[in-house]
Amino acid sequence: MNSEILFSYIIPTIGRSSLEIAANSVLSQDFSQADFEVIVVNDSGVPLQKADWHDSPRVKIMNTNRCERSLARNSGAAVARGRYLAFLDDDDWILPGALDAFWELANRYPSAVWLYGGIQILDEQNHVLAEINSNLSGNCFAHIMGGAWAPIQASLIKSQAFFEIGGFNPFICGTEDEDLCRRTAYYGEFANTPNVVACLFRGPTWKTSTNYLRAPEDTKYSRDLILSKPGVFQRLRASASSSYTWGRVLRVYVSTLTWNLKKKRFFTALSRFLYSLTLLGLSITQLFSREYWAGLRADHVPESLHFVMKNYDRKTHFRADDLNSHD
Amino acid sequence: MEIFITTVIPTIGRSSVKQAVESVLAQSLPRGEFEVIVVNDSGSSLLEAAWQKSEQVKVINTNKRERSVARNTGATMARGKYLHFLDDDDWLAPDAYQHLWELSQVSPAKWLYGMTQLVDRQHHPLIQLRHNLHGNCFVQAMSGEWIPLQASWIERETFMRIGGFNPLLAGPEDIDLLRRLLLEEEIAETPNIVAHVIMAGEGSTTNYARHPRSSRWAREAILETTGAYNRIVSSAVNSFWHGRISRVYLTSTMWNLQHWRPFTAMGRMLFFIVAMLHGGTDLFTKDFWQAVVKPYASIAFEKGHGDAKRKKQLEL
Repeated sequence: MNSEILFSYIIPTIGRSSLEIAANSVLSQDFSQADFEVIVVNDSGVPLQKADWHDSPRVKIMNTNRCERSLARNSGAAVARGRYLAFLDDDDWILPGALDAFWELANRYPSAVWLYGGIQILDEQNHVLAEINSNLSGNCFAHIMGGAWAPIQASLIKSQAFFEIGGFNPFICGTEDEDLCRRTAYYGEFANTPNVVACLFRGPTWKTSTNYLRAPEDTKYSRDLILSKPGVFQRLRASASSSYTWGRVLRVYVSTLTWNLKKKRFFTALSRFLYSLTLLGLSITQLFSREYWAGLRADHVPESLHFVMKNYDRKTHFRADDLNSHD
Repeated sequence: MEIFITTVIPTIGRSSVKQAVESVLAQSLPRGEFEVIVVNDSGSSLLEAAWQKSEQVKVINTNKRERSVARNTGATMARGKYLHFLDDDDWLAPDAYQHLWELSQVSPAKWLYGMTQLVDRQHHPLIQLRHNLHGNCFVQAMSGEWIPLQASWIERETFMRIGGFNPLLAGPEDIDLLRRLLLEEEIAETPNIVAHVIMAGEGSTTNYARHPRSSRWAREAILETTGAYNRIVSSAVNSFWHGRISRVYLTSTMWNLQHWRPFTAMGRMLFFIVAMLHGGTDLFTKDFWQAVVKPYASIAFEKGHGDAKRKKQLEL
């Protein structure tokens, strides 16, 4: 029964009606090279309303008892049989051809642990608000730590890597996908396809059960945990390819320095301070580059969803409080 | 709909799972108040069996993810106010639920437990574990004391809040969970045997050699938590345990030095010194220094072995 298949799409749901679109976007893929499955994790606490797509042999539905997204996704991953795992929310969907693009990418870069493509952000009239693709591949740890965005909805993560880094962190709620991405970037290599593979719906009627007010604090906590891991500094150095990224890395160290001071963790703060000085020393030749200072400045994260949404906010005042900068 | 207790049993497909499940189904609580979730982590289908037909039993198939992940998965599906984790080669005493239920009525503690009867592979009794640990026992847990999950009820809400089992730990994940729970919450014991646990079960899939490193990292993460020091100090009741606090910070200092984390080591060193000063007049007792110098040996185990030996001598 548990022969391996290639892709497992895991969709946690709180029972929103948009679930059907999400599930069908995977089930309707014209893809025959390998097998794939859809695991719906119903975390709403009540049974799902019966629908036709439930009968597909590719669909498995499991019921969890209102334990929030991270734990629900981890449970879905535990059940999954795919060599690659994908996490979709019940209000997102993937585009036709997505699995083909991933199949090609997986064959071209078999050692990559995170595969991803571009993403479109749409409002309810299907107007494209933004189209984002970071186009980063290989070791992009410094970029990801600095705020570059490889959206989980447009990504596949190797199952083995997912379990070796411990899955989603249940203490992070709202930005647990970004945390997973950072830890995966610490662990292995990324591969990117220029194709747009997934869509996010964000418009004035978009509703969420997630408390995004926690996001800035969670992000700092996530980064601080990662900076305490062995070999982080070397990996950051190895992946920082431009003056801009060097600036971003310095910013990460300085912001965790202040975060640790606020938490009265003076010895950790001291360590971060020394690393900041070391970084400054190593990047001395770049101090005159404008890019470097752009990287150091707050908000300058062109690849991230939060940047896009903030610009969108300025026009519409949409959820302005919830989408503050992560720095 | 919430019920009282959910027993989660991860299995690698051993036939003994039948005995484990039936020992739960035979408990004397009202039927609507408990359920069993069997997490089949064997990677293949379970052989059909009568117990799978019970309305109180749910089976979920996970894909060879090891114990911690399998248990967390079972826990996310649970409806019980309390969670109980049994293994597929262990079993409950007939009135285990009754004793723990009675304890739950009088104790607000989030981790309730009873005595454990350890048995060998032929199910011959070995020793009994009576921990006698109540309330805040953080220093005991940090020193290495361990309470079998098979004999424990953990409040589900608390389990979720502390993040469940650490999926990177296989082997010491139970003691890690106890430590994290004790950072905020308390434990309580009922002096009755509730579980029979096989020591060194045949064909155990746990690879205890695989994760000693992550186990130390997990311990370090706990020491790093804000308020850990205050918590550990308030759990030390005599000079012996004051000595243990110093030992915890001393060994952590050395570990951090060995792993090139000089700043963390400095922090731990400082707490070591503070703990010594905190000891006050305890510094002049033999107990204190014994606790600092001697590696930990479980008091419950020592007592259990002692009792078993005495019983044998009496029989002779």
